[in-house]
Amino acid sequence: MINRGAIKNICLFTLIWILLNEKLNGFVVLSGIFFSVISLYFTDKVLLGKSYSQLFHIPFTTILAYLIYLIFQIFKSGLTAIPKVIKGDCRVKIVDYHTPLNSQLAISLLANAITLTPGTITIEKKGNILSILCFDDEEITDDPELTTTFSKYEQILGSLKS
Amino acid sequence: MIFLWLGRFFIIFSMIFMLIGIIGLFRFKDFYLRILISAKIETVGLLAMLIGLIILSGVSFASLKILLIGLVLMFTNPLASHAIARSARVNGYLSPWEKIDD
Repeated sequence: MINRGAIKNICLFTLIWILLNEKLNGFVVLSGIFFSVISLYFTDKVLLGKSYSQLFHIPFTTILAYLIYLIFQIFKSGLTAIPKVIKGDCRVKIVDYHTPLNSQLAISLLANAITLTPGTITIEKKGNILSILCFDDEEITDDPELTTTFSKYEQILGSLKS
Repeated sequence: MIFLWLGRFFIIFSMIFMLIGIIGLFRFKDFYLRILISAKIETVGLLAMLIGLIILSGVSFASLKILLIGLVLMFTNPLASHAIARSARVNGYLSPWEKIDD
C-alpha cells in the first residue's frame, strides 16, 4: 500500500500540519505523520476505493509551471478586462472548445484555469469538449493554434496521465 | 522599506480592482456578464490582496499560511462560479443577445 507517491503525500500533509500548528517539535511532527497516514488510508479505502497517490499524481514541476502561468494570466486578463467594465458595452457568448488533452484530471485542471482567468468561465465539461462563457470579443476557437492561452495550458498539463 | 511600499501597492491595487468590479456589477444588468465580473473580483482582487499581505508579513508562519489559503482558493474558487453559471444555463436562462438572435 505504501508506495513512493504515498510517502510524498504524507510528507506534504505533515508539512501543512506543522504550518497550521506554527510549531516544530517531535510531538507535532509525529501527530502530523499519524493524521496524514490516517487521512490517506481513509481516502484510499472509503472515498476512492483506489490509490489517491496514483489517481491524482501531478509532478511538482507541472504544478509549479501551471501555477506560475495561471497567476500571470490572471493578472494579464484582469487588466485587459478593466476597459470593458469602464466602457460598459460588453456582450457575452458561449463557445465550445475541443481540447486535445486525454486525462480527466488534466481537463479538469484546464477547466479550473479557464474559470480562474478573468473573462472566461467553464460552464460545462462533456468528455473533451468544454463549454466556455466569455466576452464576445474573445478569440476562442476550436483550433488550439489560434487559442494560444489554452494551448499553453495544454502543453503544461499534457504530461498528466489519466 | 521597499517591501512595505510593494505590499501597500498590491493591497491598494486589489482595492481599486474590487471597486471597478463592484461598479461593473451595478452597471451590467445581464446575469452572465455579472458573473464574469464577480469572478474577476474574487480572483484578481483577492490574489493581489494576499500577495500584498505576504509581502507585508515577511518570512513567517503567517505568510506561509496566507500562501496556503491562496493555493486552496485557487483550486476551489472556480467551483462556485462554475456551479452558478451552469445551473443558470441548465435551467434555460438566456442572455438578452441570445433572445434577440432567436
